[in-house]
Amino acid sequence: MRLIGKGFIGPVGDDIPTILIIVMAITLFFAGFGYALQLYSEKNERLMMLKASLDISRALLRSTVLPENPMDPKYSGHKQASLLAQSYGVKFSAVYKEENFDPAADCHVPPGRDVTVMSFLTARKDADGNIVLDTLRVCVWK
Amino acid sequence: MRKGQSGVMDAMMFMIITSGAVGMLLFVSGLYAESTNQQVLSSYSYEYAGNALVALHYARDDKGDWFWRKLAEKYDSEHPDELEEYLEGDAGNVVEKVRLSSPSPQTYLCVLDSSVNPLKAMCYSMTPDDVGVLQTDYDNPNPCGPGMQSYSYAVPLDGVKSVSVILCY
Repeated sequence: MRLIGKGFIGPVGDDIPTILIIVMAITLFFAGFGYALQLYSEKNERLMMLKASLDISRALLRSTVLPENPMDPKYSGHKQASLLAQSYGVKFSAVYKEENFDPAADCHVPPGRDVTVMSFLTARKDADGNIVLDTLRVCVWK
Repeated sequence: MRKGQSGVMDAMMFMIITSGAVGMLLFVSGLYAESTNQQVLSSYSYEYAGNALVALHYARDDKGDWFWRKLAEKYDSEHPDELEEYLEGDAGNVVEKVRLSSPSPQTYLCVLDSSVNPLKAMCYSMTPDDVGVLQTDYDNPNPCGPGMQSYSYAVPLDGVKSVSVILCY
């Protein structure tokens, strides 16, 4: 009882400052760990999307001269690109557009989706069968 | 130090060590996949440069002449400015197409000539602010500035000359 008069709170009370600091440290550690895990999975996702975009683009560009519509299902490059997209679990679209390109409007990407776009200079056939230079934009999203 | 104070000091030490560990964890997470990302982006750049050079074989200038053939002609002409004049004039549409499609903010079309000693390189910039500027470097046919990464692909123009598309980041 005399101890109480000398600032003794109690068996747990005396340890409260220590416990608080330890709890804060553990919370900080797990919060940092959780954030690191989130960063890791975001980067993994980004890497996967880049690889998918590159592989799908390569498949679409397999011909020296591309068809008038690169998304024509009869085009062998499109077939291969579709298989790749399936294996990566992504969707893709390809259009010819040089300027003022907008993925949402031109590639018909649903709003709010994270889309990766790759551009290439290609030779393609126009409606008259002539070969012209154009920019192929390949959009890939999940 | 009293018992309570030493307990708090231990807890503070634990806090400092934990903070250090979390900092290290976040630093390493930040570095994760950076080099793989760079590899994929460099593959993309090489893919672009290679496709562009193939596509340019089918390009025609504003007068309907084959771009590739005229490029060789203008390079070989006696007037050194003819190549630049051609790329800014009749072949302007071709240059514009390369510029609009390139993923790099600085793109060059270079002609490398190994028939002369030392190696001669003439690089034509397609950067919007620099269009028309011709860079000639006899020692290092790489027009990218210091500290910049360059990605290029070259195809032969004739027996001794080749053309390359160079992307700088």
